[in-house]
Amino acid sequence: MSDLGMPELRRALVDAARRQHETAAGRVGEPGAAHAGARRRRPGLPTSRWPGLPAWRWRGLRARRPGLGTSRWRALPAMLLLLVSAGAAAALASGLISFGAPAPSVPVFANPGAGLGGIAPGTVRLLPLSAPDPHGGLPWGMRVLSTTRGVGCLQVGRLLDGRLVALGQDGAFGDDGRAHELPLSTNVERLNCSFLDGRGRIFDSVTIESQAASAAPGVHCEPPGTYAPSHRATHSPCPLADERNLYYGLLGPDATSLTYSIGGESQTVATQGPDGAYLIVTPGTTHRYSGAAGSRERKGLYTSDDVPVYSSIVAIHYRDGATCHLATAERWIYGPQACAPQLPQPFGWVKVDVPTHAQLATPIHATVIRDAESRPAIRLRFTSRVAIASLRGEYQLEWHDSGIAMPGYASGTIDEGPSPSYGGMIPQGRSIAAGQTVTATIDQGPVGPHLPRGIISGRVKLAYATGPLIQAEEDTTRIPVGTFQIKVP
Amino acid sequence: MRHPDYTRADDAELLALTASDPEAFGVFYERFEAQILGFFWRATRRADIAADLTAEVFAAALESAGAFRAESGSARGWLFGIARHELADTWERGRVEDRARRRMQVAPLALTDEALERVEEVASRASRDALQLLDSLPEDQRLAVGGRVLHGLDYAELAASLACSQSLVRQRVSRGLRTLRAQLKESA
Repeated sequence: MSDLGMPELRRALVDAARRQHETAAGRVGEPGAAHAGARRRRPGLPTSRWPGLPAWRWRGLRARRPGLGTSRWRALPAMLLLLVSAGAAAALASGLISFGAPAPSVPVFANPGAGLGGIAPGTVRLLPLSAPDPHGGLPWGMRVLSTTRGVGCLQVGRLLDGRLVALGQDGAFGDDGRAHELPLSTNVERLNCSFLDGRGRIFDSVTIESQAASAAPGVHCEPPGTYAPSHRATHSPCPLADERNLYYGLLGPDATSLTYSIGGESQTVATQGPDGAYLIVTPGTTHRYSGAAGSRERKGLYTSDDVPVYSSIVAIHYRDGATCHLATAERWIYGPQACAPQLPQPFGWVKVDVPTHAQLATPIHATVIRDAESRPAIRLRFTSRVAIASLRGEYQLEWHDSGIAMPGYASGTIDEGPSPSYGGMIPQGRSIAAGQTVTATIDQGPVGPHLPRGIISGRVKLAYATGPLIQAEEDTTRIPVGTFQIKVP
Repeated sequence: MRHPDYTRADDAELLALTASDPEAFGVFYERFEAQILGFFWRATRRADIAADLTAEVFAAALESAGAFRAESGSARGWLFGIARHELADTWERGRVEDRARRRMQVAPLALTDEALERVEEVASRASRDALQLLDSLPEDQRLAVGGRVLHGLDYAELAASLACSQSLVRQRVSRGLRTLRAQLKESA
């Protein structure tokens, strides 16, 4: 064991196996254990699922790891004092800070018919929400928008004259001390997106720890000594005082307030507006997530999910007296089991309509062709009977040859042409019109250089997300579209 | 707490024992960590991605350990099958999946610089040793042994990949391994 590359992973796996064992034995009643069983895929080879449906990284844990909780918030009295004075400081600051050039934009909403889609007209809203910064200065605010492909996104930044800005400090914008307006098409580091519910509403809860007070996208502080000497710094050095923890999101129209706990002291705050919005900003914490063997690793944490996870939020209060007591402070539990007592999550979510097999069923035409190097390939063609206008839905192809029994032996997303890409972070796929011909080519074997000879069988399905999480395997349903079989000479 | 000595248990037995003794999966992990890390290291040349993928593979394996059936093939081939699909997912999506890890509540890894260096060392060593040995083999044996040992393919997959019969693949793997054993004896 001493030669292992990741001994901590071994420990974590054995712990997970132990939880699994205890759950099976009925000895554990904690929500997380129950949930682990409830959400597990059906038994069998993992290869039996459609590959290619991972969590979307920025819908999940961004940074490297939660660890042991530590003695946070020892400076609570000082922090509260700062909170009280923050409003005055903000007012003072707004008169002193001038605007510089806007922060750079990136083409995340460049194409209304691909990826996240374009920004839907009239959906951009700066929420009536203002959270004081614990060290004073401009308050923090939040903006929401919806896209043409059924996605809603949250953005946060510092507030100045009704605009979301980032500040020229902590190494951002050359430390020019000016305010730089955040564009709508901003760096994905400052963008959290999820699927809209059946009524077009956003449900999302975000935890960011280790965020520079500048609010500049992609800028993190690295206090001296954060990393080993061999580490090549990628961010500007800055003191811990320039770091913040952010907890924000939309809990839905039924949420009325939430309770968070700092240093053992609880505070309940009302959510804002029909979105159930909240935004909490606290001082940055060091060693909140300690690395292995007492290392100084503190790359920060970035999560988003149905409910607040790995955060200081301990309860969400809903209309009619329902309360979700979160069990997610140190563990990732989502879905109904995130709450004790159990509540459907997100609470208030309205289901979306999912296409049926009867609506989708269509013949899949397969022909053998030759690729550019005269090797055999299979060209598939079918007519989409329904419009796929949302990022929720994508056609997927699964095929295997007769010599290999594994279902899901090879598969992939069927995509009509190239889509705009941004750093590999944005889901791809294009909208497909009803009646549009869709084509796909199988031109190589998944484990070798050639398409195997013999009988090739396969099927096309529509993968359709039913929950708010983008590319969440457990909230994706797959509707059969059609099958094919062809002999490759 | 003392655990039984699992050194004599085969891979399938370890998976079967996992349901009753979680430590059995720890031993299973020890047996294959370097190989899986090496597999991902060769494919990505990124220690952090290799580490994340390895964690996801073992979480998926743990999740399905109870469903593994030895009569369907080797545990090693099964594990590498998961690994190949995880890698295919990653290439296709441009990111590493972590769903199995989340479902199993396996905490994300603390990838400090030191941890990454350790991962890189283990992965690259496993990869380097294997590749150096393989390079000495004739082409047909190198492909067969590489597919079998490095990529964990079963004989049916190898046959499909190399467009030849399973018996021929078995023969090439057998000869290749025999050659390697002879070389190792000489070097010792």
